[in-house]
Amino acid sequence: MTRRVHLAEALVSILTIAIATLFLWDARRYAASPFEPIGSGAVPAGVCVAALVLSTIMLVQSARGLLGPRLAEAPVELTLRVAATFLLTVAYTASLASGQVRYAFATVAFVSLGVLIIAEHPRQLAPWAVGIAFVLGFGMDYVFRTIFVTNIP
Amino acid sequence: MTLTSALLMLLTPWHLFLTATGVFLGIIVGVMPGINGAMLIALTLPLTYYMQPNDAMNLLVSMYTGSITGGLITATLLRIPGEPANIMTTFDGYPMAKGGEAGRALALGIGASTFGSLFAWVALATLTRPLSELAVRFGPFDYFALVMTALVLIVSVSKGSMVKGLMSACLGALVAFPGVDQSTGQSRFVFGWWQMTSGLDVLPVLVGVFAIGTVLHDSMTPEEHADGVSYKGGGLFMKLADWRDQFLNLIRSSAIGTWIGILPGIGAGVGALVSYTVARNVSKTPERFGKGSPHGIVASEAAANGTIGGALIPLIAMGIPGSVIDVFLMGAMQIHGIQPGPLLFQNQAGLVYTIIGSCLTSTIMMFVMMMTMIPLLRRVIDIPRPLVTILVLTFCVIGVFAANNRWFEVGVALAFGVLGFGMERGGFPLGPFVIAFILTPIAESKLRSGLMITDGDFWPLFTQPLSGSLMAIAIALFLWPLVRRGPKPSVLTETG
Repeated sequence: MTRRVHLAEALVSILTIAIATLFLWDARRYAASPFEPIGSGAVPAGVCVAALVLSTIMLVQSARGLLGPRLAEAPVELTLRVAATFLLTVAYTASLASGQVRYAFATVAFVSLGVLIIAEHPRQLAPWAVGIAFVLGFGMDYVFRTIFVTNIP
Repeated sequence: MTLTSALLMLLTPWHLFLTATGVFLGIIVGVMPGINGAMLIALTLPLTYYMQPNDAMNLLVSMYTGSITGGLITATLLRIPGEPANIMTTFDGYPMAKGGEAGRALALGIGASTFGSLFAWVALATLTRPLSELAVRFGPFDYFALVMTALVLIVSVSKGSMVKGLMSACLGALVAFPGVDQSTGQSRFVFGWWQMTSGLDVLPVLVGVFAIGTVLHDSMTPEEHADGVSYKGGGLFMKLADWRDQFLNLIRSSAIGTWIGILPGIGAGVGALVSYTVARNVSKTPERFGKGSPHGIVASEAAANGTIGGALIPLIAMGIPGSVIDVFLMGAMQIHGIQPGPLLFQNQAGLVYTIIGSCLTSTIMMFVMMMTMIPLLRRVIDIPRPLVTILVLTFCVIGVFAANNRWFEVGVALAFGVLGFGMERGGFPLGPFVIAFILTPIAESKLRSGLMITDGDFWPLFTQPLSGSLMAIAIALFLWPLVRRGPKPSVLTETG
């Protein structure tokens, strides 16, 4: 396994520890009632304890892997492209949620830019990307507004 | 409604259109590596908000059928399995096609897929009702023990280490807890977020983990380019001699697939693997397996398709998903306010018969499409992956928003997309996560109901015959990998 896999293991373990700790702390508030023997917090607390034990084991294993010998990694460029695509998706969502940009225009921009960011040979895909962007932007706008009668931004 | 009237309804033009659309889209995603049936169904879930439950289930079941079968084309002609369920088909399908028998290899695959689906359909149509009548008698502890067995089973057959599988299940369970506790009406784990009062919705969580996370992860793996075998069409009917020669193999493999489908949480990938191994072990010519054996193709495809009907049995009869795709079907039912389980036959008989009927009509539609569209479908794999990635992301954002008109849920989907991506990168199986997310509320409520009956005493959980046996199986399945020496065999669920 490569360092990036161990890094992902470690990050998921840390996230699990954080969530489990937060839930375990909150679970103290839910005491058992007279008609219900264990209360609302008992089962979640049990799962939290199991999650804490497992993620600690996983964290130790991934730390060992991170300190171990380095193996060949995939090019970092690919990771950066995926990160950029995700950030573009967040920006697309934020622009729609702000209500300042219409769905059709935001989608045309998102699809065109997204394909150009993630594609290995963007020039080859550019005409396709723009064509699909317009169909998806204006076509979906029509479908949602007239067929599903949904108020998309 | 009876099964006959459900079948008549499914033969109306509107339902045939839905079946054809579902099967076609299913086959397309089956052909394309990197996108799977679960992802397609996750993306379609928002649209089902606008449909009648019968229409929605017909569409989704048709997608399920198409997605399991579609990968056969690229597995045979390009040695690229569209779905994990088709991995075993590449071992014999591709060598056979390369040896000049592409038409026969595809004919065997299509014939076996159809036979496997029909075999499982018979089991679905005959076993589901008796099983649901039996399940109605389950006590809360029995039900809790059944859910625990399902969870341990899915963890034990998932890829990667047991620790990762269990961690994935724990995470899935944790995100199921926020919201109003059904037993006491108390709001818990919402941390001041009023949007979480009713809990995290099924749709954004499943779309986030399965669609956003998976598509981002897959876009990081290099695209596969294989030397394809040319195929112009024709010769797709399985010959009579092949039917005779493969009859026992077909029956055995379909039965294995159906049985593995019934086991909770295990999907077509494991069914194909087990069936292929059994076929090789009982074969008089095991040395031909992997070099173009017709028996290998038949065993793999019959079992993979047998799991479809098999997996629907526990879903309908007991509310336990038989595979990861069934989790999405269960999610679709919950979207319409329908709780799958033993009472489904009594409360929603029409819906049950629609599901059973659409399993049959989609199999027939799948057969027709596969016979007529293979040269066209083969070209689907040439669609550039970046386009698919962006299309999926757009559908995720707008689909999740359109379902409830809430941007909060799109944010949840994106957050779970990051989690799904991280889990995929770290080799954590996603199957235990989604199954735990769906089953934890049921397990918790049954456990607490049982404890109310026994006044807080856990002991009957282990001493009552059914719950005790199921808990013993769950504990044995849990301890087995710890006791056994050596590495865990690489058995894949359809979630990888």
